[in-house]
Amino acid sequence: MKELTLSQLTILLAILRLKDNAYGVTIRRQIHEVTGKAFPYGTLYSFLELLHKKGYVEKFIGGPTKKRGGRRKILYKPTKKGLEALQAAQKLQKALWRDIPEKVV
Amino acid sequence: MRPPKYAEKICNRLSRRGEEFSLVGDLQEEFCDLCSQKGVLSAKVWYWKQVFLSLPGFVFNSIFWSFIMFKNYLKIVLRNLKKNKIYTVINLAGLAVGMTAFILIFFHIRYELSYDGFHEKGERVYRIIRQYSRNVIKNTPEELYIGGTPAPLAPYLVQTYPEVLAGTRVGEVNGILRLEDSKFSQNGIFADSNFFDIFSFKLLQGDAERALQTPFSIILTRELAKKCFGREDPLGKMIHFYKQKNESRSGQKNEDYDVQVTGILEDVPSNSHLRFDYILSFATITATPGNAQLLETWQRSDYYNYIELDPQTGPDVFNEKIAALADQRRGQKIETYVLQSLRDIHFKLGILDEMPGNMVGDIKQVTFFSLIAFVILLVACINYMNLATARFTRRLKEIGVRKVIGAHKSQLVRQFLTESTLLSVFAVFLALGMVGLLLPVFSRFVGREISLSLFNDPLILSVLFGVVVFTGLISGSYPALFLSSIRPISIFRGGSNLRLSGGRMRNMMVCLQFAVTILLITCTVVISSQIRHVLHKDVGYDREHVVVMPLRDEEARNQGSIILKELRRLPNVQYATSSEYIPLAVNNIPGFWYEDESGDRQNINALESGINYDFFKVFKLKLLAGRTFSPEYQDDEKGTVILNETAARKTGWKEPVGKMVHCMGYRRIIGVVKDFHHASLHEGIQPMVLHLRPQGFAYVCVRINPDNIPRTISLLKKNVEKFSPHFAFEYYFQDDYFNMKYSADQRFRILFGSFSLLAVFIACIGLFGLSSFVMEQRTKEIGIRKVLGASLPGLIRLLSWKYIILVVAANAVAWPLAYIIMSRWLQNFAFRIDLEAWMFLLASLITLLIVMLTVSIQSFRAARTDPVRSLRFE
Repeated sequence: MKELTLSQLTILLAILRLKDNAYGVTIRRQIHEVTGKAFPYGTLYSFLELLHKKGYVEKFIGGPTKKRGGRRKILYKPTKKGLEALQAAQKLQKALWRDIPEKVV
Repeated sequence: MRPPKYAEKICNRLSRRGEEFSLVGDLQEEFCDLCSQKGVLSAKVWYWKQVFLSLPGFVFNSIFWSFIMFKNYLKIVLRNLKKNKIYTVINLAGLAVGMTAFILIFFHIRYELSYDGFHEKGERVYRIIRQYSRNVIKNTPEELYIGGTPAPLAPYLVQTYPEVLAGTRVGEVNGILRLEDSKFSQNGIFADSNFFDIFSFKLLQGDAERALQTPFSIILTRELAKKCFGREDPLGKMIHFYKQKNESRSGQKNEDYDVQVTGILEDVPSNSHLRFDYILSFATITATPGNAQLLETWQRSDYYNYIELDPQTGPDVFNEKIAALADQRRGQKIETYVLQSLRDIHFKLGILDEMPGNMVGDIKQVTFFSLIAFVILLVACINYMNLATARFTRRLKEIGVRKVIGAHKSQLVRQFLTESTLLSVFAVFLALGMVGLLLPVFSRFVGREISLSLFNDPLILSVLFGVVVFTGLISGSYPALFLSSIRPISIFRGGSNLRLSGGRMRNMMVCLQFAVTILLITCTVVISSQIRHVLHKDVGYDREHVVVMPLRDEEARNQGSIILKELRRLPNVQYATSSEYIPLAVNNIPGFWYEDESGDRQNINALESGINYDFFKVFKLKLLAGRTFSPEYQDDEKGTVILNETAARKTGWKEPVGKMVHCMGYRRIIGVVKDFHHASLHEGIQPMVLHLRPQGFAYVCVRINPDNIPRTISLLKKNVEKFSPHFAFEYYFQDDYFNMKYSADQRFRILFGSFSLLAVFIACIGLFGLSSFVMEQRTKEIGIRKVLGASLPGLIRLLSWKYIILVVAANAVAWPLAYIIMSRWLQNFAFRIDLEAWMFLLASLITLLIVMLTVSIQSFRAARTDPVRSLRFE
């Protein structure tokens, strides 16, 4: 399995954290909160498409709210394959950081 | 609170189909939050910013996805092509043959249109020609033009009119170059010193400014230089130039001098109306003794004058300015000087006295060929449309499934256009291969070198690209639009209305193809019979077994009567004569005048020519009245003329013989000759006056017996060479000369015929494919009919009658069109056939036969199938 890129990892982790409420707005906010980066929606959605195509996430259609102008949302959930990929990424990260003190500089 | 409308629309368009709600919803949600936190304005700004930031991602995404889909379309196309091999072959063959014809015709047309296009100042350069007003010589189809003009014209115009920026002159040279023992009788011109200012011929060596300034300078083309000097550097070398007195119109005396090579020219491109192998400086003319006045006189129109006109002055405006010039300078009321644009020279028909080597093209032929190119391509496209729609009835399920799964209409259109374009890409590669194979044949046929240089020729590449796109779009358009708009529900329910609507369109297309076929066959029939008519027309003289020998040596000419006496003694020579001109060669028009009853001067413009005794016998001309020239009459040489029928009619005299006219002196008419075709049959018969001139002629003509021609020719050669040692012996048969004069017409006939044949062939295979599909669809019906007792002929009739009706319907379109086009084409000829009903009927009959043959093969096969086989699977 190919390793996840940093952006994919960020998005996947955000989805994981959000549990059942992972859709465009919340994912973007979550990423912003954690990393301070603001993804434009176009970029976000093309990454989401990619993750979906690779089989890391599933799509569900969620219910509409008034705030959204009555539009429904697409909810994302990591698949088993996605979780495995995350696991692998974590393992890799840990291996990479082992024996390195927290303060590098 | 509503987000900005347009931004939302953009988002809608950009996001993935079917999931628009997600993104737009997300944006609106955040927009709402922002509105309450920071106000509407900043929320709107944020929204727009998001849209713009998202654009690159979306674009990338959509390209990515269309590429994925494109891959799928490609796969489907290739599978389909593989599955229906007959269909693929028919379509590919049709398209490829159509494109081959198109590309070949394109080469031809581009060459024709490229004439004189390489001159940088081409748009501004005009040649001045003489125009004779229309009423001077009736019978001529159009105005009469003559290319030659007086030498002082261009300098005069440059001096007098500020809008004339420059002027240069060109004259013919009829001499030979001699270098030690070798002789070169190549084609040369005299040219003014500023020749290269106006014309962009490429000088390889030498100085363009000075090469033609001094007398006795010569510029050779590369090829001639190589012939003369081999590998040596030709610059500065001397060549001997030799020209006979009175031979050309530009010289009076024997000219015999050494000239120095001052430049080497790149070989003259074949698409130039000026064709020459060397240029002598204009100063040479005046530097030779006795010629000083030659360039001053307005009385001789021996030169070709070119001017560069200020682009702000239109040629029409300038024409008006110089309208009275010929009258002022030459006292000629009937002629005017007019400008002729450089690009026009190649296409101007009916100019007498044209530069030698100027192959006159026909703009009508160019139009014809461009039309036929498009027609062929169109027929091939229609093939594709018909076969595609017919075949797509089998692919309806695929379309239905695609639609149900969520394919948008535009996506289906894209898919079908991809299919047709892909096929046309394949076809263009095939066509290029065929063009490569056919090019040698084709270039030999049109008589010049054409090379297929694809990659350094952006025009060809773009034309190929255009052809692919055109074919792809045209042929894919109908199937795409028709099929993509079918509602999936009617596909799965198997609605019959759907098949019907496609069928009607298809019938119209087939009908169109038939119409094109009939049109082309009619045109071919008419063109062939017209050209046959021309070639077999009684031209009024007998051109068989007449040998013509141009005589260039002046001394030999002065010994004319001795030569003729010698020739007459030869075995197998029946008659020998000499003349200033022969039928079909160019001629001047001095004309004659006479005093009518009231004593007024009546001018008649007529061709004039000196002939010798026996001219009438050699060419077997018929006398209508009076007698021919004869040595028995002393005064024939100075005091008599013979008119042709047309000239005699113009005078209005009932009894022209015996009347007096002024033509190089006061002369008596002694005979009237029956009209004969002195010029090409494109032109009419003009008035003509013949007088006796035993000396100083240009041609020796003999009528020989048909047996042992080679021996006769070698005897002729021996005898003529005795008198003309300086020049190589030249001869030709008058009938060959005649055929050569019409070779352009012949070529047109063959080209047109073969291209129509191609179009018919393409239509034919298309019909073959289509009918096979239609038969296949009707297998069950045929099976049931057979079971119920239908006979074989009955079935064939049933299956074919529809096509016959279509052919009949196609006539209604084709006949009027063919009539209009062909009657316009026939106007090219002064002597033409009438359009007759049988030509049209023949074309329809041929088409009908072809159609019947094609369809009945299919229907026979369908009707022969065992009903058990076709019904077994129900």
